Formats: sequence, C-alpha cells, structure tokens
Amino acid sequence: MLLCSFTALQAQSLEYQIDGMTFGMPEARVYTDDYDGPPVVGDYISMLPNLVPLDYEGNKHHHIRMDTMVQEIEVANGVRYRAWTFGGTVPGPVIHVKEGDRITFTMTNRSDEMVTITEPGVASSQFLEQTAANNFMDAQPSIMPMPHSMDFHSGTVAASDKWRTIAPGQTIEFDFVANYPGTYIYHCGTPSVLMHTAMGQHGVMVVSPKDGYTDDYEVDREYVVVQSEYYLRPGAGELYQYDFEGAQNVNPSHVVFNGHQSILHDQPLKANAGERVRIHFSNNGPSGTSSFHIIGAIFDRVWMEGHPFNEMRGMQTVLLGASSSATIDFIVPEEGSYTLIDHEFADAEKGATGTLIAGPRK
Amino acid sequence: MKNRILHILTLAAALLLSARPSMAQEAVEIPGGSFHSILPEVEGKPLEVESFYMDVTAVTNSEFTEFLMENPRWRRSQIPAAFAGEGYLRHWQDDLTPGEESPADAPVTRVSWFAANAYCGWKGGRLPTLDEWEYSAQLMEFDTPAQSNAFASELMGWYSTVNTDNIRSVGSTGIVNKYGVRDQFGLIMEWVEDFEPPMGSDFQLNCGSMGRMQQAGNLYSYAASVRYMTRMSFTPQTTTGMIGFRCAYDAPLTRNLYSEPALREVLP
Repeated sequence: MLLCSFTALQAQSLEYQIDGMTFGMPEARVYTDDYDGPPVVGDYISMLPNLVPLDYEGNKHHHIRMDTMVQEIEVANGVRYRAWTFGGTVPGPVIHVKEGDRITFTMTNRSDEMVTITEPGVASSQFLEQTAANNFMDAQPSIMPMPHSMDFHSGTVAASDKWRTIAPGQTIEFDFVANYPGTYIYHCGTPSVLMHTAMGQHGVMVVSPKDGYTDDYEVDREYVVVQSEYYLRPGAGELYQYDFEGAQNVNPSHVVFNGHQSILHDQPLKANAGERVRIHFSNNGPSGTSSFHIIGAIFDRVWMEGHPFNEMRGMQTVLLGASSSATIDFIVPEEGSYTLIDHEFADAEKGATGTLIAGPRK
Repeated sequence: MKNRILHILTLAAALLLSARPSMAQEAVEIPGGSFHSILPEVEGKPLEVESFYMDVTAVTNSEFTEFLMENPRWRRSQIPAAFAGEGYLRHWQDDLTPGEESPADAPVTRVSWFAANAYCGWKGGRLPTLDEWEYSAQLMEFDTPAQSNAFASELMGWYSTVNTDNIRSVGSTGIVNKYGVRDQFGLIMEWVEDFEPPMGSDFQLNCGSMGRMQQAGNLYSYAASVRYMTRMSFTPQTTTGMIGFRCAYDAPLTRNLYSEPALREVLP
C-alpha cells in the first residue's frame, strides 16, 4: 500500500474509448492536508431512502467528497456500536449520477478525528441537511483510527491504484467514469474486508441510464433500499462490538433495510394507490443473500443490476447475492400498508423488513 | 528510494537528540527462537529471531515527558513537520503536560515513528523489529488450540472497539507473554522498526491475500493480519490515538553502555 505511494506506478493517464465508454484514468493522488470541512460534499448525494433527481441534460463532471470516520450509532432498539462509516451513516450516503458522468472523488480518512454529521456546512450536500434534520440512528462522533479505502463497484479502474488503502489523516483523490448504468455498491476494500464492511463501510451509487429504463411510463416515486447484515455481540460496556465468529460463520445478529432494524417501519416509504413506484434495491451483504419481496405486490418490471437491458417481468421475489442489485418497478394496488421483506425468513425475523404506506388513489 | 529517504530522515532525527537518559526502563530478555510469520512469502519457513531484550510495558506518558524535558526539539511546538504529522501529541495539554485525559501511567500515543525511534535511541535501545515484536507476542501459553482461537476472537473484537479516549494504564490488560512482556494486545498498537515488512513488489495486502495469510485453523493469523495491515498503511510521520511503542535492546551491552552516567557526558 504505502509501497505504491513511493513507487512510480504505471501511468494510467491516456484516456481511450471502447463502445463509447471511457477508460484510462489518471493516477490516484494520496496526500495529507488540514481539511476540516463538511465530510460529505456534492450536489446529488442523499440519505437513504432518498434519491436526488438529476436536473441536468447530458453528462456532468461531479466533484464528490465522502470522508470515512467513526460514529456511534443505533442499529436496533437498544443496540449501539461504534461504526466505521462512509459519510457518517450505515449504509453511507446515496450518490446519484448519470451513465457517462465523470466523478472526481475525494476521501479523507478521518477515523482519528471527531466529525459531526448533524451540522451541514455551507454548500455541502443534501445528505448532511437530511442527517441533521433526521438523525434517526442518533449518530455521535467517535474515534477509532484504522486504515481504510474506497472501492466503487461503479468504477472501471485499476484497483491497485484507485482503491488504495490510506492511513488515518491521509486523503485519496481519483477520477472515474460511470460507464455502466445500474445500482452499484461501494465499500471499504481494506483487509479484513469482511470486518470493514460488516463494521459499516458500504453504500450505493445509483447510475441512472442516459436513456432511462422505459418509454412506456413515468414512475411516480423513486426510492433506494439497501439490505445489509450486522454481526454484533454485547461488548464490555453498554456498546455492542464486532462478532468475529458470527461474521466468519455468516450468522448475523441483525439483517436490516437501510441500516436500522426499524427505520423503514418508523419512517415508511409513501405512495398512493395506482401509482408506479421504483425501488433501487441493493444487497450490500457483506455475506448474505436476499430474496426481496413486497407482500401484496408483484414486480411489474425488474432490471437486474439496474441495467436497462436486463429486463424481467412479473417477478414475485428478486434473488440477489452479496453486492448485487435490481431496479424494481411495481404498481401499488390499493390503499393500505405493504411490507417489504427478505423472503428468506431467517433474515426477515432478524430485521430485514420495511413498510410502504399507500394512500387512496388520486 | 523510499528506504533512502527514511534513512536520511532517521540520521537527521538522531541529530535532534541532546541528552541521554539516566536509567534504563525495565526490560526482560526474550530468548532467541523461531516463529511462523503470517506473510505468505515466508509461509512454511519459520523465522529465526535472536535473543534480545524488550520493555515489559509500553512507554508511558510520564516517561515520554521525561524524554521531552531533556530533548526540547521533540516537543509538540518544536518538532519539524518532517518528523511528525499535525496530530503529534495533540491530546496533551501543552508541550510537557499530558493532561487529564492522558494519565501518567497510560501509554503515550500520537507519537510518530521518528519520535518513538528517537526515544528508544535516547534510552540506549531501539525500536523492536517487526519480527521481534511479533515473535514476542506469540510467546503466550495456551493449553489448547481452542483457547488460542478464543483469545484471537477476543482480539478481533478489540480491534473493532479501540477506545482512544480511555486508554488504560500499562500492565492493566492482564495479557502477558511467558517472559513477562505485557499488553502487546488490548491496549494500543505499537511502532516497530521496520513497520513495512519487505514483500515482493507484486504483493499487496488486499482481500485476495487475506486468505493466503490465514494458516489453517489458526485465527491468530487472521487477527495478526489486521495488525500488519494497519502498520503497513502508516508513514513514519503518522500519529494516531492508538499508536504508541516500547523499546528493545541488543542485550545486554548497549543498554548498560548508554545508561552509564560517565558516558553520557562524552556522547553527542
């Protein structure tokens, strides 16, 4: 890792195109500075289950900052632990871009620093406004210095360069082009990758297709739901801690939607009867599968991995391995309450459920 | 290239030292032997380690204060940026006062490799090599592999809960190797002389190499790889709330040589 920062890497700076996609990004930069600004910066970054609409034509060059830091959070009633996070929540912020957009990404490893996520900085991000207004996990800053890295599944780059591990206090900056549409997880790739992701370092980037999913209709609502596992056991004090054996044996203590056992019940998704709802659903793992189902609905159209070419119709469940996703459209049939569920019931009963409340048809 | 830079900086750092200490810290002899490194390049081949002496406990805040009193150029306000990042001793009240959150008998943290190296030189010793440190750490006695694995599992839990706001006194973990070296786990992480182990240029620690690092059925290796990984991410200027150090000595000459008051006067 450090070896790389001293050794001249093969220059990657010659851009080229294949099938209209762009490859060949400049070498990542690792440096130390005294940044102490907002930990999440960018125009199209939100807190789950929200997705910031893309309000621009053509492609855009995004400058995104998402720092990694420690937050003590609640993941279920009475269960708190000191999470390793991107942006301060688990899962991390939802980043929205368009197929073909270029991203300059900056991340400072602030795991040795108290960083608050409930005070949005000037011109930072919708994400920080949302966490300030809705601190559902009751996030409190904490310190646990560890090496970390960032691996965007939406990026097509040399991992040995861009996904490099950085020490506490260091910053990494790199470019990539979101060549493929879909919903892609991002996560820390530093060993133990199981431990780092289970400790909370994962999230999703939604890369919307440049020509949309279908010309047949417009959706009325668009949400993002992420499934993930926690492996926790009671620690020495009041806090829970990482359960190494649970993680190794894929025996999670909690399986959750959007990072908390009850967040999607206490703050249900909203829609009205007769509306078309789109959910970008990602199973971030780290190790389990998900059989996503909505009780009382049939998935009208499903695009596996969120790619518009991968269309399926009339699905009752969508089976997703760890780090797989689907973009799911369904029609809300009637006024009432609908349960989102991982139909692998052991997971459901560990928390992988949520609610959609439907109002009357308008 | 990197090694040369490190070497030059180390020499420069040595010039910052002024006085030598009056007494050596309590150290015990670790008899030579061999152990299995977790690095895949040397898997299967036990590494030989010669006898050496190592401090029983990590260097404490009060001990480091003593060093700073005699060596002003290593104080927070005076240390050159080349030798420590901005976080150097940032939790201390001032240059020579650890402050309420840093009890006198708790290990000093937020010290760079350069500062740790200088301190050990001042003590008449040096930082332990990576192999010495890991060898000593493995010299714990367990009755069964199950007990060893249970310990390693606890260790993984500790790596997920390190609390830099509440670092306890040295000697408080109850973890001790069979020669009396305490707290190599459960308190802080520690600098070693060669914190970036030599590896093939094509080898990086990543999720693909993790499996290779695990010796079958031995969770200890798994926990150790977290430690290797963390150390490897550091630069010699790194200062974090969980990194401190202890010193080693080439037994027994060096330690006694430098602790002789008469010699102190003639040494630079």
